Formats: sequence, C-alpha cells, structure tokens
Amino acid sequence: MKQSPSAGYFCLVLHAHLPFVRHPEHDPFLEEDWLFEAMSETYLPLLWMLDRLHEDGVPARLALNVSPTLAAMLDDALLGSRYARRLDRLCELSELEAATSRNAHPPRAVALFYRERFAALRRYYDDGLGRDVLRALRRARDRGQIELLTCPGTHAVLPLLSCDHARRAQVRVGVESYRHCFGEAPRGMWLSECAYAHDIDALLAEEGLDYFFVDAHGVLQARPRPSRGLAAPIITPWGIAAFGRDRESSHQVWSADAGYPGDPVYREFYRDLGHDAAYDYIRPFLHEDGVRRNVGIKYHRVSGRVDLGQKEHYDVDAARQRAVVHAGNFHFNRVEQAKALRTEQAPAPVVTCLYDAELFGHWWFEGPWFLEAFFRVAAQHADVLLPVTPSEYLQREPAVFHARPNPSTWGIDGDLSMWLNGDNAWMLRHQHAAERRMVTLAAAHPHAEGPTRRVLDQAARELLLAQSSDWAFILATKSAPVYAQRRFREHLHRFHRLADAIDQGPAALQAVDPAELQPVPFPWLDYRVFA
Amino acid sequence: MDGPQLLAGADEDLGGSPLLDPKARKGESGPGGHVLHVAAEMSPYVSTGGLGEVLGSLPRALAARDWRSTVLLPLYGTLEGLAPPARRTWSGTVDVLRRTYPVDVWEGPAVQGAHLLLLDCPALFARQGVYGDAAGLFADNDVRYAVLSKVAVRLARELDPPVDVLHAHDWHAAPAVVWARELDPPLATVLTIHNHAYRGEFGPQRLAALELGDVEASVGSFLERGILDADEVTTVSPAYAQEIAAASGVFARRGDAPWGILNGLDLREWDPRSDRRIASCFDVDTLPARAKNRDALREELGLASTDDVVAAFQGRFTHQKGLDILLDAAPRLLDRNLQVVFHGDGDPRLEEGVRRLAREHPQRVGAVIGFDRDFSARLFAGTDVLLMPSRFEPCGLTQLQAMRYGAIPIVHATGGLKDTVHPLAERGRRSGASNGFWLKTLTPRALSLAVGKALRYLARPDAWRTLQRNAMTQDVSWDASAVTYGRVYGQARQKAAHRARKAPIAPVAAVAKEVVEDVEEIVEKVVEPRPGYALEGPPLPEGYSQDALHVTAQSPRLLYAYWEVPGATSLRLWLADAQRRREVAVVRARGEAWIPVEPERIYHVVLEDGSGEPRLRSNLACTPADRPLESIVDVTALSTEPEGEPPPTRAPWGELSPRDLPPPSPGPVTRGGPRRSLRLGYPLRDEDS
Repeated sequence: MKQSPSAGYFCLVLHAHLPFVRHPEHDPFLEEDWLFEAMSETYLPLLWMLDRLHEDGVPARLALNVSPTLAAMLDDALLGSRYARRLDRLCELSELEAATSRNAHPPRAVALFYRERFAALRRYYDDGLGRDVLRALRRARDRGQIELLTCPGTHAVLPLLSCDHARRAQVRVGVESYRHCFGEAPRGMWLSECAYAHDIDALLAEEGLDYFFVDAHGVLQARPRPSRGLAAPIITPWGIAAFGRDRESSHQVWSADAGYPGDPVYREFYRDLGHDAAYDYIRPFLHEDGVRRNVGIKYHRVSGRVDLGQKEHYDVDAARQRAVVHAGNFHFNRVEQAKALRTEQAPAPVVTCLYDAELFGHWWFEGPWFLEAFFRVAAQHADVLLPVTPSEYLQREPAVFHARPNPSTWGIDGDLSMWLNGDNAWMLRHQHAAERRMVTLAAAHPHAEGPTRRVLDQAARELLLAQSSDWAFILATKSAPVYAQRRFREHLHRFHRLADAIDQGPAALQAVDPAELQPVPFPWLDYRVFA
Repeated sequence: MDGPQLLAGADEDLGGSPLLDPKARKGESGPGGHVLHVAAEMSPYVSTGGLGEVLGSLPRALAARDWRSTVLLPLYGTLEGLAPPARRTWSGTVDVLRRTYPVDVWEGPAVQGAHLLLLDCPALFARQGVYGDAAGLFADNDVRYAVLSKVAVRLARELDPPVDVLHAHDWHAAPAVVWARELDPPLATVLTIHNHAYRGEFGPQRLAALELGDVEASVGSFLERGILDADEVTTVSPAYAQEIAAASGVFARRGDAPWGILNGLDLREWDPRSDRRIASCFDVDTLPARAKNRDALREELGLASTDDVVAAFQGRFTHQKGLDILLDAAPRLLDRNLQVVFHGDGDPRLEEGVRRLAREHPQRVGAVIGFDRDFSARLFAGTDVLLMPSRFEPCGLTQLQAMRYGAIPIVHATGGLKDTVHPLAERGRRSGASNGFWLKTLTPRALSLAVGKALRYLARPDAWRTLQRNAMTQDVSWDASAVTYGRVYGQARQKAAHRARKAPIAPVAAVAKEVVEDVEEIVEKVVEPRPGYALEGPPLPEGYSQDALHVTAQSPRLLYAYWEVPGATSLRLWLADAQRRREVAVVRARGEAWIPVEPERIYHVVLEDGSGEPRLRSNLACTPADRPLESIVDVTALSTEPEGEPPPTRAPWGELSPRDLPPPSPGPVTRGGPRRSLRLGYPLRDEDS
C-alpha cells in the first residue's frame, strides 16, 4: 500500500492552448507569431526543464493539456519550418545586439544571455527535439513526468453551444485528436475556460473520461456543498471526478499585483527591443507592414510601479535567484495549506493548481525556472507534499463526495461574461444556426462517401474552427478583434457554402474548389461526430 | 415476527370481496382496500429513523381498519439474515438511464401485519450499506431508488388482489407516484414525507434523464417531483405539515398543504405496566413505584444517590437534535440540583463533548454512547425530565415513548413536538391536558430557564403527578392515525377517479401571469456588432429563415436570449420559470435581449404572437449560484523587495543545481497576515489588450 504524504498532495495542471492559426497563403503571417512566441518562451523551455530534471534524476509530476488545435500546429511541418526561420532571425538579431552592446546600453550581460539562449533554443529545436514537439511530449509522458490531457476539439466553450450534439462533437474531436497525437485514450479533459454547465459531465462520461477541472466556486458551490471544500475532488452526477481550482496558489502566481510575476526583479513584458531600438535598425526584423511590435528581446525588469521609460535594467542572475526563492516560498505555502486541510479521518488533501501554460515563460519569463526549482524542492520533501497527476491522486485517494458542480468558468467573475457580452453576443446566433444545420446534415447523411463525405467533413471542420472560444475572447479584450471576427465570419461563410453544395446535389459538389477541401487541421476528422 | 395471523384474517375479509372493485367504493372513509407501501426502510429489518419505525408499525394499525398492506422493500446486502425467500412474486427487467437491470421480487415473511416483498437487484442493492458506506453516499442512489419505484408501479398492476393505493414513503419512492400517473385505469397515490430535510436532490437534468423531468416542473429532487404529482401528500405531524408547506414552494404549486398525521407507538412494546426491561413496573395509579427505576438508573450509571432531579437526552447526536445547545447550557443546568443522562451517538465532536462532561462530573452526568433499545426503556422509566431541544422534528417518537413512562418532556416548540407536548398555560396555571414544557426560542438560556421552571414545578408533587398522568394517558396509539390514513386513501382514490375523467391534467395547474412593470430595464438591441472594431470578411446572413429562440445563462443574474421568427411582425417575449412568468417586452421578428433573473433557477423564454398564442419556447437555462464570496478573496501581498538580496548564482544559464536551492523558507506567507482584496480572472491577459 502506498504511503500518503504527511501533509498532502500537490497537483499542477498546465493548460497549453492557441487557436488554430495557419496561413500558407501569406508568408510571414502576423498572427502566427502567437505560436512562435509561445514556442520560444514557454513550450520549449518547459520541455527543456523536463529534460534537465530527468537527467538529474529529479522526479517531476504534472498534468499538461495540449489543446487539439495547438497539437495540430505543433505537428505541422510548414509552421515548424517557419518557426525555425524565426529562430534564425532572432539568433541573428541577438548576435547583432551582443556585438554592439556596451556595459550601459544595452546591458552587455543581458545581450549575451539572449545570444546564448536563442542559439541554444535553435539547437534544441533541431537536435534535441528533431522539430517534433509532440514526440518530446510523448517522451516526457513515457518517462512518467507528465500526464497529458485533452480539451474540446477547437477549445469551444461548451455551455455556449446550442445543443448536446454540438457539444458532443467538440468532446469527441478532443478525444480523437489525443488518440492520434499520443496513441492512447485520454483520461482527463480540460474543459475550455473551465466552463461547466449541468450535465456536460455526461458527455465526458460517454467518452470514458475520468475527470475534469472547474474553478473553485464550481466545487465550493456544488449541491450538496462538499464537506471538504477544495481539498478533494467531487464525484459528479455522471460519475466522474471534478477537481476544484485552488484559489490561494492561483493568486500567488496569477496576480500581476500580489503574485510572484510582479516582483521588481523579474523581466518586464512590455518593454521590448521592437519598440526601443532605432527604427532603421529594427525594421528588418519587423513584419512587412513595418509596424513596431515585440520581438522578444527585453532588457528591463519590472522595477516597481514606474513608467515604462523608468524601468531599470534586467539582471538575469538576480531574476533566476528570485525564482528559486519564490519556488521555495510556493512550496512552503502549499505544505502549510495541505496541513491546514488535513484531517485524520479523510483522505490526504490535494491542492490543485491550474494555470495557462503560457503564463510560465511567455507572460512570466522566469516561470519555467520557478517550476524547475519547485520540483527540485518538492523532490526533497516528497514525504510531506507529494506532486501527483490527477489520475494518480484518484488512484491513491478515491473521491467519495457526490455533488453536482455549480455552473462556472475560470473567467472574470467566474461566469460566461467574458465569452458572452455586448462585444461578442452577436456571434452566438450565427454559430448556433450553423450547428443546427450541421446536425441536420449529419443526420441526413449517415453513410456519406466520396465527394459528399469530403464536403461534409470540411463543413464540420469549418464549423469547429468557428466555435473556438478564442474569437469571442479576443473581441471582448479587443486585442486583435479584426482578425478574430474575420476568422469567425470566414469559417461560417465557408461552412454555409459547403452545406449549400450538399443540399444542391452532385453537380454542386463537383464544383467545390478543391482548395477549399484541405483537410487541415484534423485530417482524420469524420463529420459524424455531429451525428 | 408477529402479525401473520392478523394478516391472514385480513386476507379472508378482503380477498375477492366485491368491495375491492374501486368503482364500488366511495372515497371518504372507505371500507378498506389494498395498499402497496414503497419504502427504503422497514423496522426491524432496516431502520435509520422514523421512516423505518413507521413502516414497522403502521401496517398493523391499518390492518385493524381493513386496509391490507404490502410493503415493497429493497433486499439490501445487510438483509442477508432474511432467509432467501422461497416464492418469487415477480421477475423482469427495468431500464434506467439506458441500462437494463434484471430484478426479482421475492415474497418475504409476513410481518407486522403486512406482506413483505423484497426487491432483489444485486447490482444495486447487494451492498453493505443502505444509502452509502464508509466511503460516503452511493453515487447511484438515484438509479437505485428509480428502479425501486419502477418495479413498484409495475407490481401495482400485477399484484393480486389488485392494488388500490400506492403509498410512497419519502424521496426514495417518490418517483413511483410520478410514473403511476401514467397508468390506465388510474391508480391512487399517496406520498408521505417522513423528513423533508432529505429530498433526493439530483438536479433537473438528471431527473429529466430519469424520465422524471417535466420542463414545466423544473424541480431538482425526487421528493418535490413526487409532491407535485401525488394525489395526496402527508407528513408526520400537523405542525410539521405547516412548517414544510411554508418553506417549500412546491406546495403552493400543488395548491394544498400536506396532511399532518401523527405517528403512533406500538403500545405493546412501550407499556410501563408490563415492561420487563425496567426495575419496577407501574401505572398512573402506582406512580410512587416509579422511584425505584430512578434509583436503578443512578446505580447503573454510577451517579450519586441524592435528591437531585434526573434529566435525560436521548437521540442522535446531531445538529438537528440540538445537542450542541444542551451542551452549551450544561454549565447552567449543573448549577442546579440536576443530574443529566445522555443516550445516543452520532457526530464524533458531540460525542466527545458528552464524554468530557461525564468525565468532569462523574457523579452527576451519565453517558451511554450508542443506542440500546432496552436502556431506552430504563431511561424513560427512571428520568424525571426528558430534554428535546430539537431544531426541527417531523414527529418525534422519543417524547411519546418517554411520556408513556411518566417522564415529562421539555421540548423546543417545533414540528411534532408542538403537536404532542402540551405546555402549561400562561402564568403557571395548569391547563387540563398539560404534559410538558416548551422552549419557544432555542437558546441555551431558554433551555436553562425552562428546566428551572420544571424544577419549581417538581417541588409540588401533586402538580407534577398531574402532569405525569396527562403524559401517560395521552393517546399515542396508531388508532386515530390509522383512521386518518384511511381517509387520505379514500381522498386519493377520489382524485384518481377524477383524473381519469379529466385527463390529461396539466402538470402545473395554474401559471400565474405576472406582468412586470420594469420592462424598460430590459435592453433590446438590434442584432449588430457594437462599434469598437472593424467588420471585415464575408458577410453572414441577416437571418436564417427558420424559427429560433435560444436562451443562455450568462451569469447568476443575467440571461441572454436571441430569436428569429420569420414573417412575424410583433411578438411578446415572456420569461418563465417553473412557477410563474412575466412579460419582458414586445419585440420584433429578430432580436436579442439581456434579461435580469435570479441565481440558481431554471428559466426559459416564450414568444407569443399577437393573438396570445405561444409561438416558440426556448431551451432551458440554469443560472449558477450567485457571485460567491469566493470571487473576492483575501491574499497577502508578497513583499516586493526583500531586504538583503541574496548573491546571484553564477551557474550557467539553464542549469539549476539542487545545491543552489534554499530549503523551503517561511518567506512571505500567504495564510493570515495583512490582507488585500483581489478579483479573480485574467489580470495578465487583460493588460495585453
């Protein structure tokens, strides 16, 4: 029998997701930068960290959701080669910076750090990973470092879909994508935006999933009220486990004000060479439109509450040291938390920490160092606080409390207002109309083959892509609204054109432009997921 | 195991009698019939409280009134002591939630005046626990009792003699009254609520999946669903009936309150004249003989032999029973010349509280942890006063048993306690039927004052003896209650017959039309993206030439609805929940609205055309719980610039050696300390916008 740790368990869950952005028709394409930045700052550094821990024999246990759209991009040769080219350009720029740096500006130590880092990333991507990130993830899984999860196919907010058929399609595509990428059935699902509504667990149960995650109030306000709060997952009415997001640790990391990333020593996200350098100097490294944007080289630290212009120079070593201190503090607090939750009769508690993976590295540059230091501390005190994956916890300490989670999300105010508000509610009717049409088509053509099958598959693909939560989110935050609403319109427009062709019959099907039938993403997609 | 003879007699009276033909009967106080009781418990086989006790004794009382009883009880794994029944009454399969369960129904021994039928479904009931085990409640209790109910409804049509009334007990059997409504010819149904605190809450969606969902009903529990559909609903005391009718909206929707019918006692077991469990038998005329029982009780518990008055608490050690109040009052009580005896078990913390008190006052406080039925009799015979500070009490049997033995109850005036304990009238004057004392407010101080009042009364032996006589002679038999149940069965039959003529009956009898005056608070907008970002890309259709009406719960207090009704000119938009509806606005053929609502409710919206005919009804939307306290939480700000910066490590980039790591340091701690408020959300992403 496995011994329970004296304080409790720690379950770290990272959610890696980007909307599917791939534009072979344009080179380069601005929004593809989202992937490339996350690769350089988060995905590769996290894999790097896992490799180092493995080499040092330090156990690391965490759960990682790689969304199907992200997995499809990580698996895409075109995007892979574009990323390699991007890294080449960054190596070039950082070489140039290192060559021209002085002690004062740019700070020489930091310029050398970037030169070293980009060169190392470039080598790691080619030699360490063979440009195959999914293989590296499988390797980390097989080593027992991570448990991989899946999420709804294109990261749709399930409560916002019109019917169970549409929701089921998202869940099935998520499960199917996982099988294709990772060669087995997933055990857990990350609900997009942790959005739960009653009976969504039924759809997960249908697919044989064991668990999912909700925000704290999803569990704390479940009916009946769970006696142990967030200290243990609950069993939903459809018999699967729901882990509640721990609040205390969320704030410690998430909060820009009170959280670790706001420490003055850490790298300042918004002060970037793309804005600071002389225009003629940086112009060759910008996109074709010549607009100044972040290039990923940042010489300043947070420095406190001062204007961007007043920021002080970044000190890599001081920042790394601070990340180590914060990791120790984070571990200490989790131990204290688990001790406070521990009761004699009940199973050992679990502190479930949910984060966007991109927080670590992209938003909080030092995040991967922090995680590495955390796992090194945790390894020394595994008898007190044991890092586990969700499956492992359920296996060690079966959940016993049965309750119906409260409908909830992890967005602002814990509800759907980020994805359904005055800026984006107009999308809903269009999306729902397409869902109804797709469900009708799937029912009318249960055994389609040949051109009909190809067109139906593509229609399903277009609809799924339109359902991504990202478009509504971007319209609400207005970070890239033009692109988001155009993507939404384009997918639905193509969907209806394809659906029209189905309705019109063979001649119309033959007339569909083959260019519109590129099976990307999800080449294995079967439209009958909507049946 | 007594009772078969009684039942045999009843059989002869009822079997084949033309009176069994429902058409030949008249509703009010009919001459009897066949009742199928459906319950999760039945004493002595399985009993966790009042439900099991009632099933153990009510059938016999009914038999005396010509009502034949058959009890359908699950064959739990804990009932293995019941010999495998020899005769299979029924065998078949039941489908619940897309699964098929094979079920056998075995005829058990006839006990307590009833035929016992045991539902044998090993997949669901062959477990070592009734509702759960050490790991908690069983996850599939809804399925388990749905199967019980389905089998009950099918048996009701197949048993011989035919069943006249299906009597469902508590939430476990409530689905049976829902499904029984589909029978033709109709079957009378009665639902008895033994404890309204346990309702079988599984949520509207789950109920819908179990074929209990009626979108109009939108209730989330088995019990409430049953309350809506039963022909008659009863509970176990008149006062409790009033309390739950006031507390639960479903009775308003039914249009009537439940019957309150007091539980009775098995007087053969609880009789101080012949009870062999007590040291000295007595009756109202030989009350001085009772004193020996008090001495025996003291001796048994090692309490000091003094002139102190003995007070007793018996019951589950739970919040409901108010033991915490009693423990809080204990210091005040022990200041008086009082000894206190506790009997029961339950919450470990309360058990420890009782043990501690007994340790601190070994001469004056006795504690018997656990439940011993024989000790109960000795306790009731020996104690002067029974303390029942229950927070709520559907009926309560303890006070009835204690009063039979001349113990005077001091109770919180709630539920069945209010109906069975009659206090002294104002200003200490005796009223003719007084048999105890009330606390109108439930506080340690009120309890202490009531005990003080009782002690003053005890000092007057004649007055006290009158109280005891009143208590001991109060009718606590099942006789009166069995008569009332007979009336209820008759009423239910009448209603069922009426249903047959009137079918189909609307599940919700009346929907109040409440027009709100705050229509202007509704924002109706033309469906267009708000300006603020450019619209690019291909246009989407303005409309889809199809009727559509959809509603989404955006947050606890806001719904979003959109609609399209091609060809309509003017429509009225209504917001409805299960109980009522209100007009939102007059709207165009296509539009959207944000509608203020309440948390944790289920809504839908309806569009009516100009003639007032419903044109479209939306899906259901369930609002979440209100913005929780949890959305604003306190955290301690981390120190931003710690004093004395540690020297930077000079390790090459990307390498962190374990040697560089400090031990887990107390550092800034996020538990306790100064606090600040912080909202949940995406602070980092927001800044990106």
